[in-house]
Amino acid sequence: MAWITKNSAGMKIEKRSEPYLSETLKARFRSEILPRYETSMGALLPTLHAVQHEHGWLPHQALMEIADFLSLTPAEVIDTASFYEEYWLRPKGKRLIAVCRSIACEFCGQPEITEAIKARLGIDVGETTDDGEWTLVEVECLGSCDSAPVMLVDEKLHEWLTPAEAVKRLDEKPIGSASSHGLHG
Amino acid sequence: MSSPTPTITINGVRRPFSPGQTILQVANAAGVEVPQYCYHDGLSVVASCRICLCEVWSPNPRTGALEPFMGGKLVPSCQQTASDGMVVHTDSPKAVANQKAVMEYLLINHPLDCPVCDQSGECFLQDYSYQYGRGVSRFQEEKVKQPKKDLGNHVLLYSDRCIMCTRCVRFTREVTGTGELMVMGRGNKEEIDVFPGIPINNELSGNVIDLCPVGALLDKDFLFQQRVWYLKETPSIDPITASGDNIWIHHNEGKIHRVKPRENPRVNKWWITDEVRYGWKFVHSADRLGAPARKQYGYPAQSDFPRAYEIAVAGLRRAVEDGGRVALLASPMIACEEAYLLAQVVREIDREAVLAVGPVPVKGSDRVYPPGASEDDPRAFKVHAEKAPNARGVRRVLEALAGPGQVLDFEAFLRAMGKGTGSSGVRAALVTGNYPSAWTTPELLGCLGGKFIVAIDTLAGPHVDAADISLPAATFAEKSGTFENARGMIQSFERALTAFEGARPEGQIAFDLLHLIACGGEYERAGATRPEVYDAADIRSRMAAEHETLGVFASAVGHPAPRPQARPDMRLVEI
Repeated sequence: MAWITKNSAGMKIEKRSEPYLSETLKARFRSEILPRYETSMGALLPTLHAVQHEHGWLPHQALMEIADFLSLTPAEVIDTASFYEEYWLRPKGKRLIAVCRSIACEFCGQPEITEAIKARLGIDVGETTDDGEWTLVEVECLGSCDSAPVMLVDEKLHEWLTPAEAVKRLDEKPIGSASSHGLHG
Repeated sequence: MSSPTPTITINGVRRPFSPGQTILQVANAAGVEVPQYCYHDGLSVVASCRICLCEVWSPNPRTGALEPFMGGKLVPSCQQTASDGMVVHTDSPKAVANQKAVMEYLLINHPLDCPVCDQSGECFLQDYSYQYGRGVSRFQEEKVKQPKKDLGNHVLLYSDRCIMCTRCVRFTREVTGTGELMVMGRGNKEEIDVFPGIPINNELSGNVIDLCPVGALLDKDFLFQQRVWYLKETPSIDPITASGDNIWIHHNEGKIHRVKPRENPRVNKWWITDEVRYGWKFVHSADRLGAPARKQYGYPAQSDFPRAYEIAVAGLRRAVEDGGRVALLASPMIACEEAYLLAQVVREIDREAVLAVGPVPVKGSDRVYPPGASEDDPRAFKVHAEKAPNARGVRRVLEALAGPGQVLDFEAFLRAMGKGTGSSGVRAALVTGNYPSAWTTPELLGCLGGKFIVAIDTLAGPHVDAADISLPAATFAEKSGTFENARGMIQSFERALTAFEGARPEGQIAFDLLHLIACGGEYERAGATRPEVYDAADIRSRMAAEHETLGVFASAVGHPAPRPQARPDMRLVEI
């Protein structure tokens, strides 16, 4: 058995000089998010959403800045962010394909759909294409079992898919600029 | 039918309770064992480990007939407040089935490495596995492997041993308010961790190691040092700060291996600072004095106790005969009883002896955890800036002898010593130390020059070398006594180790000197008589009897609570 070790205390996180939480963003959060919540802990989820929406994912430096902004500890922020799979703590591609793998979709042919997309993009589930364009993931129920199998490309739900149809849908133009950041609230 | 004091029935026995108590608290107070991992008296309730689940029946308010509570679902006893007339079963088939299921579930991914695990022997998982679990595992798949993590200066985390009770996480959020620890991920990938690069280095960080019910959080200092079943425990008091924190000294074969907090709701709750936890190292310092020494041709030469005592008594006496005064510098690191006896030594030689309290080190300022809490908050924990355990106790004892206001502090002592050796000037001094590190200052060294000095200390230092006689003393772990903390609470501590070879407790040295003085200062004339043996409890009652102002030493000393006898887990078999 390999002896796995991790130097959590001494780790260095990647930092850039430009902050992820710009003053404009902070001003927007102060007027749009903070007034809606009684505690700063309550404002954490929407703030994470908004930052991810802005940058595509949540780098550690951004988490530290959020902690500072909301007067929480960095550990509390990453505790929450790591609980939800929809928050990305590592970079992802510009566009996100989320294939539903829950039971209804699986029975209606989800494995073939995943295989077709994998073949088309040349990546495995959980990976990003070399050009940084696509990330493919499998997710739990998307709440559309009646139209199984389904997948979500950015924010658009594609229903009653066949493998061929699923691959064709990838060529559709993304809707709006916001959609280039994948799942968000 | 409800009685004046509400009661609940746990496993067939009626137990009274005060409203607001949870079922588990009632059971714990009554000594009924209910397995529990995540519950801790000092932390919030999360009811996440599920092993304390019990079957509860409660009376229907209209008919009074017992009905299954919550529709017969098992109830987490740590979270459910007790209400009058409840009937609780922790040993019913349903409750036992849950205990077995929880144990099996927790052990699915737990490594079977007890033989190399530091917690082994004091591990809840081991105990409960034995009492509530099953002997075999049905799990045939691969266990999840998680890393060993370095979390900070004192704390290591073996993630795969963790059962996710989150006691440690709650501690950093609720008690210290520093929030370094967190739960990373979810489900079977859940791990305790710190934010990358932000270690858990707060002043109370060591407590998470005690809180961990399993071997996940480990003490770097104690790692692989000793199997816990070899350790003997002795109740003691924080020896290096004014907090009076209650501690256990865990030791084996004359060596301290670790210090753990001893629960005391009026002082330190369940916690101690890392300073106290790791502050015992000076006991085993390489600089410990191991033999008396006397100055010959300006240099200290090793001597023995009888010879050193004779020279000491003769020197002190000569100072008085020459018209000078004798002074006692009683360090705030020694016990009240010892200060009392040492003061008697100098007063035996010089009725008007100068009594002074040694320097009281102060580092920074007092801090209260969690930050912003009031000091009187029952949950708050105070870290004291004053780094001496007994400044108040020593002063209290000396003032009882010399009269109020007649005891000098260290500054006044230096001034009194500096006045010169003329008539009624100080010509000889008994100086005690016992500080955890070197404490000689140039001012002290300067004022000792030209006088007859008897140094009683534990660690070597310039003023010990300069003394005419030096006597090796014993640290807090090697004697019993009492300390008075910053809040005026007098608490007793017990002897854990035999004194370092060649050293004697200050109290014993005082008795030896008193005996020698009574014998005219010569060992030859002592004949068959022997000095008294230092026993803190005896001296406390003597102090209280001899001085009205010291009555507190008979009436108000806090003693370590006796530990409930552990129940043997093997049945007695008569042969």
